[in-house]
Amino acid sequence: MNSNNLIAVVLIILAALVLIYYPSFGKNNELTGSATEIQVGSSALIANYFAIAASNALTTDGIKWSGLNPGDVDVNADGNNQAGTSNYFITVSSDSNVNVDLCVKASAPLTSGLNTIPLASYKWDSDITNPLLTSAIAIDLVYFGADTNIVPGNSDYYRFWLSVPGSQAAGTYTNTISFKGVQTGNVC
Amino acid sequence: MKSKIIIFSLLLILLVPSGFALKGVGIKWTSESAYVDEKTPVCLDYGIYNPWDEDINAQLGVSKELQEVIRVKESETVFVKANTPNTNSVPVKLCFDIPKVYKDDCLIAGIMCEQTCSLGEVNYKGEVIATGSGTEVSAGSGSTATVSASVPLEIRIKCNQQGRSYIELYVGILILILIIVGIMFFTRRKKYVNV
Repeated sequence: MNSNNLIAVVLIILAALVLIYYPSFGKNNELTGSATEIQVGSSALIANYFAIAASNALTTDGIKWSGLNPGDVDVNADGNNQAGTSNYFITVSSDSNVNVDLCVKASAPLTSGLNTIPLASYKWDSDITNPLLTSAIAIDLVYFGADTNIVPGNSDYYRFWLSVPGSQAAGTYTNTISFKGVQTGNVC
Repeated sequence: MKSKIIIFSLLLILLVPSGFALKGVGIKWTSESAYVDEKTPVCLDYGIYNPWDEDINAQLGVSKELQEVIRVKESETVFVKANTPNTNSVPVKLCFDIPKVYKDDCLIAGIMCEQTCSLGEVNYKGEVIATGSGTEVSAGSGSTATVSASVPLEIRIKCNQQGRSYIELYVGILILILIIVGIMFFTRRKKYVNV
């Protein structure tokens, strides 16, 4: 085969590759017909918002028990205020445009050095008016639903009770209780 | 006497420092989902506001479910003055680096690959959480309290279907042909020169 024939073969192969790789080669991509309508985009932006706040008793004093002794059972936290409204509450701001569900969890058991008070000994209840010991459940390390569908401007009240095992070591026991608000209907 | 009591009460209310201010955080959002391409950076806009009586330093973060799979770039801590309404919320961007999640089916070492999306789209669900750092105060003995506001976030990662690409094969064949032609051409040329 002479060099001219070889070059021809190469060019044919090249042309074949181009035709295979560009399947739309030779197609007419021009717009035909006459446009009779105009399309305009439209959009609507919806913003949701809510704010929650903790009462002064929660943010300044925290949830405290004074004068606990080993063996004490279901002792009221200092701010429970059984005679009236609990000092522990979360308020949904009146300017919120959604209702709010509230959730509660503990960061850890009450801990002092190496000693802990079991989570089962730390009880809480919530209510929009009057939380009760009879409805109280043990705090957990994962968020648990408190009250739901809190309307903007309203508050959710909490009470806390602590039992101290008989053999509990002396110490200053601490942890963190977290309150989280979510739009009503969303999971904690 | 009565008027004295009233005046005294009013003075007490005015002069005693406000120890009953509420402290919390608010969040404003316009989207609970994002449909994104893999291997791209994505930023979502949120607003943090504070209609309450005390200033806060707030931060926007994400729940563990999103942290584990999507690299979240640090969101800034913002100072939000007391009595900041939602209409003046402080804008905060939450940015993610979306990883490559769909594995291409390649014939040879990263070339001649296709993506059939046969396993469906990958979704990640979690929460965006606004926490007001000013809400946590040491209680001494007992529990401190924190307050946060959260909104759900679902990130769906687009799978772009792609047929197997043979361009590398074509280029390889072309190069091979050119090499063969080149060798033959120069070999022949050398023969003619030597003759």
